[in-house]
Amino acid sequence: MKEERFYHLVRRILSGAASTEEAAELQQLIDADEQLAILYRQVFPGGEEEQDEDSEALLAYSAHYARMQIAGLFDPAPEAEVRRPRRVKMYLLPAAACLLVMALAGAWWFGLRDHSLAGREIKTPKGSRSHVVLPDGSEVWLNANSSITYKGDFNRTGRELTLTGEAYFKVAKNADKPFIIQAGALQVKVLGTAFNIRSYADEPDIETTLESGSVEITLNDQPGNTIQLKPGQKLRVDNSLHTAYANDSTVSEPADPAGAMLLLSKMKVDTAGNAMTDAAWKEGKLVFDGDDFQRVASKIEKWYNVTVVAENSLLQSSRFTGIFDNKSLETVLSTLRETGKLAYRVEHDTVYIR
Amino acid sequence: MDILALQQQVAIYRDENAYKRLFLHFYKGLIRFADTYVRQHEVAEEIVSDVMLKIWTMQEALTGIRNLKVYLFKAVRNGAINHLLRNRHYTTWDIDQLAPEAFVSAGTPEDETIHRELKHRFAEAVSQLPPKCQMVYKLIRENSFTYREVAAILDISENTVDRHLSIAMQRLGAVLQTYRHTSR
Repeated sequence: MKEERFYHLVRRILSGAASTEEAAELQQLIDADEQLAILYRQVFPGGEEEQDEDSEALLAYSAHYARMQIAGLFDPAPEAEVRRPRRVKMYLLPAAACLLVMALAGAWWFGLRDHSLAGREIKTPKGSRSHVVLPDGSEVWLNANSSITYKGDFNRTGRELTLTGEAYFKVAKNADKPFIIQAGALQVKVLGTAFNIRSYADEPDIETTLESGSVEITLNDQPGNTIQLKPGQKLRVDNSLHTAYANDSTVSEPADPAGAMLLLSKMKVDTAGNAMTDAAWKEGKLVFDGDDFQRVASKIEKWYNVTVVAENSLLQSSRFTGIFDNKSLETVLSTLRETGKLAYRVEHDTVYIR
Repeated sequence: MDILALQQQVAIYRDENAYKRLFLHFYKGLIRFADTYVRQHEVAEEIVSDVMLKIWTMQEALTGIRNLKVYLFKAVRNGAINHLLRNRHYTTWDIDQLAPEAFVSAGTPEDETIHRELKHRFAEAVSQLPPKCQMVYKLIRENSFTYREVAAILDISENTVDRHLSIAMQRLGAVLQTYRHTSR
């Protein structure tokens, strides 16, 4: 009888259905009965064999490696950039002194107007979009419920800003002052370019789509590596790192760096005729590009400043594609209804979809 | 060993070192598995090498593989079967009749607590199991796969996997019973 129970529990474990109680019960059986323990080890010998320094495998790898070299598959990888902390060199001191004098003179000249380094925050609420020109001449289109923050010394030494939400950037070329954007779990270094970043805290992915020029992306948890994007490429990063933003535009450390796993994919985006769907929002077009329902709902919420409540779990597997050029919420919803996949009702600022 | 992280290193950063670690990590299990099909070590090596080559050349698609271990075993099995079909005029293997050869549980730690005689009897009992049954038992024992993973690799249902393993366990249990009565 005990054997029968033992067999049953082993099978539950292997089918992945066993509860913690069942696992504990199996452990007790093994501990109490040496025969069952022997049998158990015939199925679970234990000791994950990780003989990575196995000579047979190493030998096989060198043969395999040679084969790949001959096939020309190992192209020389670009050297990963090593960022050293900036050291103020001695010969820079006079220049720094001059700057300080000028800054003080300026402060006096402008009647001690606030030139502090408090920085700026530009915000767009849900339901609206904005367009700003930064001190360096770069243009930013901000989508709904998004913000950029930068310090008061923006464009003096470098150009760094922090983004939450979605923005389209047209960056003014200036090779001496790299333009760096912190967005959730990654930072994007710009080398003069036009591109789109979507990085809302309530959405699982961060998407960077490049229209022209080039950008270098660094994941905050892997500072030694950079990812280069070419025009027409989109990088999607799983933002499972829940990064919180402090107001001084520093990105806090991920809570659990060991458990931080980013899944990346690069994909081709059609940029023909400059019709980059990812950035069409800045022309007032609401675009669904094969989006799943969760993303559709998220886009509608931000675009029209409403709350979307899904009352039908079957919707999660549906995908939607469409472009709405400056259309009303009602138009978008009724068009979605015509797919036959859903019905809706609007009460105040809440849309119920089922 | 964080396989997913290594996958990402290989797919996105083309990191040869991460690639090497993946290769070394999976090599032995894959070779043993390929051997059970093709019975020629050189051929098995070639099949595993082809599969690992694809891991490098698929680039970003590699990040889409959620369970690399299962993916590799499945790919090796497909490669092995293709090889057997291509070489049908030499050999007449029935895929379903293939079983792991002389059951040697290589790579598993020596279990000092059981007698060599008993070990021998276990091995014999396993070698007398139906081929598919042996295959299932071997995959679970040597690679710690779950039912679902074995089902995916061998293209059979989880219920079938369960049935095969039950048979194997009952058989081993019976060996243990008779051993207790005959020894001591």
